[in-house]
Amino acid sequence: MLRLAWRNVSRDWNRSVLAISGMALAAFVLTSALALSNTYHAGALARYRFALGGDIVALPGHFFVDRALYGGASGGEGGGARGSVAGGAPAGAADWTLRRWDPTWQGNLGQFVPGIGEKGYLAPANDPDVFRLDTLQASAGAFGKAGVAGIYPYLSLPAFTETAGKTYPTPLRARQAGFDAVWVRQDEVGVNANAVTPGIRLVTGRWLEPSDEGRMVALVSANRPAGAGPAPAPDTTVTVSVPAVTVGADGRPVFDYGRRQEFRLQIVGLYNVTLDVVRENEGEGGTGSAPVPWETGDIMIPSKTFETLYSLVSGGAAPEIAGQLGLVVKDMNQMNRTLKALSQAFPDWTFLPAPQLAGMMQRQAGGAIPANLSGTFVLVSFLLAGALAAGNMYVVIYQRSKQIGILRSIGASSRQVFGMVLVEVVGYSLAGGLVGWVLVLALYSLIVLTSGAGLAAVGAKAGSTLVVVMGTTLAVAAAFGLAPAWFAAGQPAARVLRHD
Amino acid sequence: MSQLPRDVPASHYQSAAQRRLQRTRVDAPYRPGDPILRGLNLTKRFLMGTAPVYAVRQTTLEIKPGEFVLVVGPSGCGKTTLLNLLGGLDRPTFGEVVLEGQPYSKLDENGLARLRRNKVGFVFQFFNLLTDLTAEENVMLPMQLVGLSPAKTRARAAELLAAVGMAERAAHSPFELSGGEQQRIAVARALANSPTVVLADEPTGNLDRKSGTEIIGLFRRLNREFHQTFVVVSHDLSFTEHADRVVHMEDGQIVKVEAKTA
Ligand SMILES: Nc1ncnc2c1ncn2[C@@H]1O[C@H](COP(=O)(O)OP(=O)(O)OP(=O)(O)O)[C@@H](O)[C@H]1O
Ligand SMILES: [Mg+2]
Repeated sequence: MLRLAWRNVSRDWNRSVLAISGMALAAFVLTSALALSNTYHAGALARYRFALGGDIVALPGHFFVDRALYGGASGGEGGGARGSVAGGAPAGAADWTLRRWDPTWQGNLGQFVPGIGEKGYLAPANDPDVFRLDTLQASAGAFGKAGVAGIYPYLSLPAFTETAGKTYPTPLRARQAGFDAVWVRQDEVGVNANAVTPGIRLVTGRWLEPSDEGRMVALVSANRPAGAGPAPAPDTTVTVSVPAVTVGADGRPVFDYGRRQEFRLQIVGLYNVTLDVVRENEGEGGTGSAPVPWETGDIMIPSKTFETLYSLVSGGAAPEIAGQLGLVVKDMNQMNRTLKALSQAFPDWTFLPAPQLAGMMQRQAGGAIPANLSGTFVLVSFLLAGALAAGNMYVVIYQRSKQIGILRSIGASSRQVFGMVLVEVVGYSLAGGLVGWVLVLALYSLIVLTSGAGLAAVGAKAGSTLVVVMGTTLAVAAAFGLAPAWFAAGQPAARVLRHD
Repeated sequence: MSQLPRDVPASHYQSAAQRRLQRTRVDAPYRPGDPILRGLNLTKRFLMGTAPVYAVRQTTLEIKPGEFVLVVGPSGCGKTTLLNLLGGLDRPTFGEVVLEGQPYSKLDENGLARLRRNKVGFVFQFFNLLTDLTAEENVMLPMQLVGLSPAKTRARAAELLAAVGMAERAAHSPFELSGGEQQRIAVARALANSPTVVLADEPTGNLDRKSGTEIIGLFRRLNREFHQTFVVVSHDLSFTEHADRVVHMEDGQIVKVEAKTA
């Protein structure tokens, strides 16, 4: 019977190739759907981690996100955003003021939540809007207990570059080189294990690395807003002029734009952040996602380097306050628990997790994302793959019905017939799954190569993808192939033979 | 009477006495010389939509060991149906089939399959060879189904192919063989497990006159040489001369039996 099953597969290669291709296509569709839906989240997350410098953004005081501006029907941005209110103004709303992005905050208050600044946010009028860095030490234990691995004050300095006689604002931002490097390598961080993150691209050069700390190196955006001038060439130096800073009575920095110091920074890489924005496709009735470039003139420098520059322009003083903190969590899967613990430990602060900000930002930029988009996508793909596999298996089994009838008539038991078909179905599925897996890997590699990310990610992904692809094809084949096989095997011989 | 299905005329039912008689006959142990295959009071009803069709009606046929029986009759008279019932390819609506003392009604589907592969050889009008296998592999298949060792299987296949005059064509695919040659392979396959009886349904129906005569001649030779029992269905009345007994069917029933005394 084994030989017969093999003959069935090998005798007519056209048919077998067709059957295997069908299974491969099903496997491919399903796996890419799964991968894309994972990647969709992981990719968006990675972009926001990059933009925010942490997994969670901590803001001093309460924070109210206007539902009309940012929310879907999901009841505000809920989640960990303390102070966000579903359905309307918070209690005591009279005391709340609409804050708009204040250009002078580009000082080392360093508040930065992409997108929100443009439309403003509501905050209690009397809220403090800075973290005092000297008191943060005291909180370190509580952060750690809540599941935070690292606290990175979000620091920036106003700075300017000059191109062709014109001056452009290009703020210097302190980045934890290690943090960036870790997640950019992608294969080491569980949350962003997918290679397909076309949104953050290293256009050229490399990312900041831990060994860069203290060195005069920079990562500049390749995609700058109108007015910021063209991006500097990679592997050149950029000269930034930074105003002198004194610390005011309230601890806030006061900048003297008349007195500036110039620094030369070696550009190690150009980065480009695009945000995937999901839009309704007009006329076509579907949704699609469109990459929207994040325009920024920001220059990222290692945080030790930042401290050095700060002390040079401040005459020896260290930064005392930060507008927000980037918190890196120990385990992304424990995000909700961490958020809960944090808001209990620091009831006056607002914690915005990167995923939530990502969603907020995408809504703001491109309209509503259907919350269940990826789920629907996977379901549709599964049905598609199932229909494909089912049709495939039906044809395979149907072609066998005469053969099965003959086998039954000469006395093959239903178990023997079933075994034969089983071998065939499993064979097609395994071969198809293997081809599908290769296709998925090829697609990954292509995306990785064209987006400049590391190939290591593909390698890391290969094993688990294989398991997923094989598992799904086998499951689909079993679901859609074994039932007809079982049915065929159970048919009385005379009836099957009467077919022709 | 009320518990009987409406669509069956009362005359189709056996009397209590008949049934008792049949039961004793069915349960009797098989003794050499007894009829080897017995179809007892067979009725097969098909439903065409809701209308019942009686393909075989209250038919009893007994085959003695080594006998060559020819079943003839007009198209649609129930010959194939009768043969399928005798071979355990289909189950009768009423009645019983007994092969070497084994009543079919006591067997489940897999029991019937086992009986077919051990004791019944089929030859069909359209040969029904597996086209994915070579001639030799087709002949080997029934032996593989019963788990005969590969060496014995190969040896017996060679023997059988020689017996049907197809030794040289062992490695050929059915596509490469003529109808007559394919039917010879089918005969060899039917004989593979030394069946108690070979049932052939219009084995010449798809062959030209010459090949048809050759196949019947082959049957006759196997019948003479190996004492192989045959039940052959055919339109062709010219084959009656080969048969020990000719059974005439009409409208689902046996209307005449011509026995020849050799
Ligand atoms: N599976 C079935 N379903 C319904 N009717 C059937 C079925 N099998 C046979 N019949 C009917 O039973 C009757 C006898 O059929 P059968 O095939 O036994 O005839 P036959 O004598 O072999 O005919 P032929 O010489 O044409 O092969 C026919 O009327 C046929 O239509
Ligand atoms: Mg017939």
